[in-house]
Amino acid sequence: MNGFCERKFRSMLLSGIFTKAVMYIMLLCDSIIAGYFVGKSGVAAINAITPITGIVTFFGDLCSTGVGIVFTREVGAMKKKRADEIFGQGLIVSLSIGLLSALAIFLMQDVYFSINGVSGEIREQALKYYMLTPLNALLTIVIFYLEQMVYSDGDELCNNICYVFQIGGNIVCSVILAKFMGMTGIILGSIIGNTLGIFACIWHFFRKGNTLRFVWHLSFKDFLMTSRYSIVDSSVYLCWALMDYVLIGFVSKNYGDTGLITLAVVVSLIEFGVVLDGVGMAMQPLIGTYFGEKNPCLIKRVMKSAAKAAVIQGVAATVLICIFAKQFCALFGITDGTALAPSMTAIRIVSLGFIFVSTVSLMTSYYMLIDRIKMATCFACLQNGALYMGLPILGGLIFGLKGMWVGFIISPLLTLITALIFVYLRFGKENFPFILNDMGSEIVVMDDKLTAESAGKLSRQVEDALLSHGYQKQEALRASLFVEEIGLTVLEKNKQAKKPVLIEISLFFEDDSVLIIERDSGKLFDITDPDLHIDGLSSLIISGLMESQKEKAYLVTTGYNRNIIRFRREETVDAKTL
Amino acid sequence: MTLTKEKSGNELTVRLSGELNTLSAPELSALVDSELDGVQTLTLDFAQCDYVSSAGLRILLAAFKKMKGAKGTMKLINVGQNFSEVLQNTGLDAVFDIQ
Repeated sequence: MNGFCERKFRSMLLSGIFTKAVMYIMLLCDSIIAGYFVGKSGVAAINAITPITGIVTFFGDLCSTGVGIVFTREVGAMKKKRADEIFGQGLIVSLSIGLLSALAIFLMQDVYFSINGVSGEIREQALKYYMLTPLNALLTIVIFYLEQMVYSDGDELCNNICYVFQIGGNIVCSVILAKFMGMTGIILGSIIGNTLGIFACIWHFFRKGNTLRFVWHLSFKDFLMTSRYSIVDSSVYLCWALMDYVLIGFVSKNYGDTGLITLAVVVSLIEFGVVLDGVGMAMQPLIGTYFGEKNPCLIKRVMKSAAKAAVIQGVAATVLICIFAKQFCALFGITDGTALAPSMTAIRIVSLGFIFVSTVSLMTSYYMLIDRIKMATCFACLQNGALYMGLPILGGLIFGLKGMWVGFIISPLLTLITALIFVYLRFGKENFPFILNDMGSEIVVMDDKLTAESAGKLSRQVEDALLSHGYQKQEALRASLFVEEIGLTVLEKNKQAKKPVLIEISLFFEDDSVLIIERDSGKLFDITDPDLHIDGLSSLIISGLMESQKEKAYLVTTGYNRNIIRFRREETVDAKTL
Repeated sequence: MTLTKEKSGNELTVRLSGELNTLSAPELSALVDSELDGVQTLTLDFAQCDYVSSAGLRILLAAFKKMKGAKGTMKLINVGQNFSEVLQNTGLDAVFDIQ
């Protein structure tokens, strides 16, 4: 299918993968630049500060992921006031945690370096970097939040520009400044990159499609509610830390230094799995909105597109790693010597499992988005914790070093099979694999490229759907007239548009009424506005019809127009607030 | 939509059956273009048609202008509830002769 939601998903996909790639690149680029301009002591100095960076990333994730999910869900349910509160609280919390983190990092400098035992030149270099780390921590947490919210608001263009500024600014400034200021220049480059990224995000607030409105709101309950969605991602980082610790012990005992170098490259490749979660990120605003609407039809359609994208992404990543294995190793300073060949072999073997890693990432993201957080966390921990530790060790013991790397392929495959069997047995054949059967009402979805003809056809389909659900001819005609006139009005407003306008109509049949949700990709305007500018006969009719319609609402959602109108079976029933 | 024509002298009655929307409006448009020459009284019967969208209204307005230009008259008869609401919303109830 190539309808409205599939196109929107594809337009968000690049940005989603970009978001995750940024996280990965940001983690790597300072080390690479330090290695190039400062030398091995520079890389070791950044490694010495990695726990601080990890904690900042954790807080950034804690403040942003859940807020984005809950925000889109509230928008989906047309609870704009509540969505504003969630956004407002998220901004306050991310600024507060950013400031507290900055203060804590600033105050604990001496304690931190006395505990980690770093000394000599590495300590000297680390201190130069650490000097500006508090400010960078604040900016990192704030930019994580702003990027997440701009993305959740459907502005992938602004989001992509933000990343270009953030990464580009970071790399360019770090490289230039590192020549003159060494390690301090590298962290200053990160600060400049983050600042430029924040300015790019702020641009979104001046754009027409912006729906993010700050409202002062503080509730510990809401904070807990939003932060619980971060458990899945956070648990993955925790599992990786454990896996790294356990495997370092096993490899150093059995394969010596060469094995450890290879393991370091493999672990970096496994961390690359974060990028494969970009598909999950891309579907988040859409699934959030459709989940808020209680629209299983469109959730399933987005998921089908996402599954295809996950498979393609996995295959592409495998092919790229197999081709550029040497270059990947070179990123970590392995350009020759005894470690190069085994490292290249190892990452080529491990990359064969990317298709399964990508699929499991998608699955855990999906179950998290539909509120199956415990289950998603279990699947994530099974793969990244238990199996990533157990199977490589088992493979290593039976087949040697190569057997160990094969363990990394089998782990996500086994997780996928286990998870699917579990969902099938636990929720039944009818509910497999989406677990959406508890979403009550009957839904009909139709979409098309908007033309005068398609508006007429959609209108006829709406009429037929209402008649087949026992509605009176008059009621069916009225609803279908709305649909046709909305379509024609959108066309009137987009006469100059170069791209075709897409329209999607969802009909939610409830006990005594039908809820019509119209979404279109045209110019943003509020069709329910009593002061709507009349451009032609259609807008004149729709304006008049809207005036007599009690239950209606309009909200820009993920960058698109969304109109909701409820038609009651009997006119005597009191109007409920939408 | 089905259009049934009945001509008597310079009077033309057209009975519309079905829906006058974007898809069916071209049929009525063709009729307006080809059949109105020499007609002084045009009667449009909506007894079997209670769905008229803006696409249909445009054709009705074109027919109205044509009739007015030829110093003729146009009337709409048996207008149903939905169509009547559309006419009121657009203010065209004051323009057309509705009986």
